[in-house]
Amino acid sequence: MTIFVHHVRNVLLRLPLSPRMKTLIDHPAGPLTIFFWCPFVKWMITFANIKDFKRPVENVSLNQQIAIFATGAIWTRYCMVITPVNYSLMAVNATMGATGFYQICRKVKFYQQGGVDTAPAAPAPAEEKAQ
Amino acid sequence: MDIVKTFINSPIGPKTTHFWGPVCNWGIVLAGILDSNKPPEKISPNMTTVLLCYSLMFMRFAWKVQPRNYLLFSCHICNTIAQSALLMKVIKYRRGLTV
Repeated sequence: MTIFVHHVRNVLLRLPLSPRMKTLIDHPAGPLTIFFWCPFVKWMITFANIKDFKRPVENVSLNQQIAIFATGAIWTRYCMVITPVNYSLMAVNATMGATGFYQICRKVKFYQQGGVDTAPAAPAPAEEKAQ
Repeated sequence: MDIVKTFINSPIGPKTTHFWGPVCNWGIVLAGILDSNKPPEKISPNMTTVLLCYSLMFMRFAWKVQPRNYLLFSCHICNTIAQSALLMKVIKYRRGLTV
């Protein structure tokens, strides 16, 4: 994986790019390092959670959403106290925490209205095999 | 006690962000383990796939970051395993529906 990234870097540096672009390629937190892509994948979690707003509320996992909300909340707070303050990471964690909070509210409202999580489906294929 | 004190005052100890971030990431692992007992229609394939990719990338991040964060690294190894198990469950379930 690292060798592949090294090859990509060499190919990109041979292209006729401006010095500013070349500085970006070699940056310690640039697009060829993991530090660049970590916030990107956290945005993917946020978008997946937003897409899951349309899922039926019985299928929402309360455990998972609590964990996502807690991660988002704690990281939002800590992005404010680290040096340097990382607003981009704070934004992604705040949004992720907000989507988790929304899903938790949906689930709690469902339970308050008397909703019950559906029981596991009966093992039909096993019964057919027994017969 | 000295080991405990050294850990508490270390750059990845409980007085720093490097500690509490991974601790809350363990919550995602725990949620994944608790959800493995639930019926497969309850598992979201979108979220599971994204969390799997997230853990793979953060394993690399935890290794490369200064100071190297072994707690975060171990957390994401466990999350990769947990989310892979959930994803396999969903895939098997969906294959069973289409067959």
